[in-house]
Amino acid sequence: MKPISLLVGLLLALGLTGLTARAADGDLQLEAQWILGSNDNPAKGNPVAPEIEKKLKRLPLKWQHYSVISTQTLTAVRDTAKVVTLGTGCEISVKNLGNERVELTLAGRGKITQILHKGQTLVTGGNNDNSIVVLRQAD
Amino acid sequence: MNLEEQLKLQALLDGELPPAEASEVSGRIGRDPAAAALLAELKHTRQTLQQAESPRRLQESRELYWSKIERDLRRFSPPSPARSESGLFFKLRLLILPTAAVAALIIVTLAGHFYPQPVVQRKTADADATTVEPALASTDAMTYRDASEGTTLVWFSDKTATVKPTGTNRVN
Repeated sequence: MKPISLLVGLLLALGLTGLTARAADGDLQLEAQWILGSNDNPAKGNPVAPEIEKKLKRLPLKWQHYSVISTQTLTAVRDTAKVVTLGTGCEISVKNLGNERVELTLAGRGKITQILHKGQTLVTGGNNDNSIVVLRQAD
Repeated sequence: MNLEEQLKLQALLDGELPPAEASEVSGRIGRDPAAAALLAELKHTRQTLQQAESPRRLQESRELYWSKIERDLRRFSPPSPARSESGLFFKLRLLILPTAAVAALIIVTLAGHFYPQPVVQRKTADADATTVEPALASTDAMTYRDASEGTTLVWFSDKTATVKPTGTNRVN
C-alpha cells in the first residue's frame, strides 16, 4: 500500500473516532439512588455499595449506617430534563447540561448544578428527613 | 620530393601560395620531372572530381537547413540527468508537497482531538463550584466537598428549623 493511501486511511479513522466521541459526549449514563440513613445496626434494607458507604461515612452526616431504598439508572440526553421518581415523596429531575455538567432538582427543595465526572458523587438531602439522594455516573 | 614540397604543389594548384613562393615552386616544376608529374596528376584528379560530383542545391534557405540540423541534434542528444523526471530529486519533489499537505491535515485533526481537553479542564475547574438554588426563600443550603473522594454534599434546611440532622461535630 502506498504511503499516501495509508495517511488518507489514518485521517478517515481519526475523523470517525472524533465523530463517535462527539456522539458519546451527548449522553450521560447516570445512577440515582435513594438512600436511608440510620444509626441502627444493622441497617434495614439493601446495604449500599462499599464505595458509596465509604464516601458517605466521610461526610458530616449524623448517621452511621445506610441502606438503599431504590436505584434507578437513566440516560441523560443533553439539554433534556428527565424526571425520575425514586419512591413515594422522592422525585428528582436530572438535566444534562453538556460536558458532564448536570442539573439536579429536588422537588420542593432546590436546584443543584454540578460537574459530575466519572467517580464523582453528588449527595443531597434536607432536614426533617433521614433519606438522601446520591447521583453519580453509572459504571 | 618530401611531403612539404608535395603540399606546396597542391597549394599552388589551389592558388593559395603568395606570388614569390608560387614562382619558386613553378621553377622547381620546370626542373623536376617528378614534381611536374605530381602536379599533372593533381590537376587530373581535380578535374575528374569537378565533373563527376554533381552540385546539390537546397530547397530551403541555408539558415533553415542548419536550424533543422540543430533541432535534430537536440532531439537525439541524451537528456541531462538534472532534468530527468525519473531522478531521485524529482521523485522527492513530487512527494514533498502532498506529504506536507497530509501532515498539515493530520496536525489539524489531532489538534481538534486533543487540544479541547485542556480547554474543557479549564472550564471544568472554573465551573467545578457547585451552584445551588433553593426552591424557597425560607430554605437554606449548605455545601460540603470531600475532594479526596470526589464527593459533594448539598444539604437543604429550613431557616426556621431549630434541629439540624447533620452532625456538626464532624464538619471540619
